[in-house]
Amino acid sequence: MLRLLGPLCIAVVWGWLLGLRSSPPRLRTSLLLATATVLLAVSLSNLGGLQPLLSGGLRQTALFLGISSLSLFAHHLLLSLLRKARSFELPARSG
Amino acid sequence: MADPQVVTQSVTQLQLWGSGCFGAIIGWYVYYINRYRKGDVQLSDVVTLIGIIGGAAIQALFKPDGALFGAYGVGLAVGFFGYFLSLMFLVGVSKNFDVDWFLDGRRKNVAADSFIPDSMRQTVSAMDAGSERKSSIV
Repeated sequence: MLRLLGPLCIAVVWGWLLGLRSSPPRLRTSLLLATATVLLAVSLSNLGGLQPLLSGGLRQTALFLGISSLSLFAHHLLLSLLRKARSFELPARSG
Repeated sequence: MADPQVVTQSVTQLQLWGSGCFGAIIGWYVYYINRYRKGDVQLSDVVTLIGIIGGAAIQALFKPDGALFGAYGVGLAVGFFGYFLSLMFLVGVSKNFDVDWFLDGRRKNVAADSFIPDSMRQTVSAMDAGSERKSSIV
């Protein structure tokens, strides 16, 4: 269980970190972070970090990318919800 | 006599807690560094992050398909999100900050009988680096 959770947690942290670093979206930054994500995924899958999750290097890499992306989207979703909540609150504050 | 193969693969609870706590410190520090970074994302910056989170040094320290690496990963997430949750708690109990601080760093003006030392460093905002131009000392 721990072997499965560890790589999963690393992917989640990495995705959240990408969210923190890729705002506002810029092409150069996005490309840099995307390349770094692929490198980290390949590195972990080649060295066996994701072995407990799935067998097959390509699938492990894809899994890491998928989990990181989900975490990234979760971060952006939370940001959007906070902004939305603020836009609802602003008229109330001024009124 | 114990089988050497089994002996080399078994890890104690203490080792698991140790690697988990190590991961937690790294995770906490990664969030901390991210808040106090200066300027845009650089290549060297990203390479360092990869090295810290799952690079060769970490994989040399903990066997990548072993339980210690798993404990490290869980600890990393606990430390990283623990920092974030601590920020949420502190903002929640403070009268000077609200949820807007997470988005653009805004907060109430410093009261007349308070001051912020000049030695305090600037941070980017806690969740949205795009608003770092507005952030100030925390």
